[in-house]
Amino acid sequence: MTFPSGPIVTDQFPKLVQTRSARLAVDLTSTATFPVFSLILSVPITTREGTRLQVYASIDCNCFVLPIPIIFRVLLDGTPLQNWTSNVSIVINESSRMVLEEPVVGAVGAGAHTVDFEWSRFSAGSVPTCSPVTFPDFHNANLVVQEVVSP
Amino acid sequence: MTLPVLNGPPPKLIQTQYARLAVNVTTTVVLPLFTTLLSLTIQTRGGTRLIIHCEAALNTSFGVALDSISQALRLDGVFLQAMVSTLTPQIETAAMTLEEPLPPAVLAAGVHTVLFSFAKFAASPAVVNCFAGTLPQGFSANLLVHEVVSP
Repeated sequence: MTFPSGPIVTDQFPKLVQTRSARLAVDLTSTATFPVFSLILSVPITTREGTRLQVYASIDCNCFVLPIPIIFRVLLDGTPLQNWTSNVSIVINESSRMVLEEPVVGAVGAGAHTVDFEWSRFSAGSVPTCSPVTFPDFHNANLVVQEVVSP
Repeated sequence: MTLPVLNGPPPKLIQTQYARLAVNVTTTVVLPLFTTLLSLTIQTRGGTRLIIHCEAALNTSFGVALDSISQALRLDGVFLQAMVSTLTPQIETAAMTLEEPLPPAVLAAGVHTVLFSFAKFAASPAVVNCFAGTLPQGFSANLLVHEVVSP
């Protein structure tokens, strides 16, 4: 195999255009029961033409009363992108994380967008909580959104 | 040879530093003490931020207790955020991604240290393990830090 000489063609490498993030700074509980979701974090971002969004959502939380599955999801402009579920215990805390790029093919389109991170308990009778103020050694919720130019 | 036009957006990813655990690390320490899993240094220019990705797959030597393992990030010795693993013989992975500092704050130029550590929540006979050296099929710890310029 031979390689052409010359400068590095930077257009052929992914580029980070900007990063936006949000971090949960208060204790949060939810009584939203599936299929109803409640908001954990939201990130607004204004994008240029021809870019995509890489989304990193992470949370550590637990439940009051009963261990139940908690459904998490990430939305772009109100449209759900992906759901994922963790079985969240009472005392033992659970870590859950999702990484995705949106859209998989094409571009997200220039303009203002909003990425939301939401959760919903699978059944009533227990209350999920993410308490980074009360339990800083265990609980966190983060939403990091990166606008990228990617082939 | 015809070279492509370099017409992409200016790169905003300044550098990446990465550390992977390649040895076994165990601990019996209890919060507020902690044991270092990984540490890396990064020399930043002024006006940038860090995107920090961390993950660790851990277990304990025996027993299932209603207890937890805290895994914390520190920047220059200052606690940032923490996540949690269950204290169980089964391997459990926890991960998070965060931006530091949150906008509009930025980092000062100079050398910074990112520390990824772990500790038990309460005293118990259990030993917390990350056998990344001898059992990399199941255990791991990674710390990935991007220095970025972002509005």
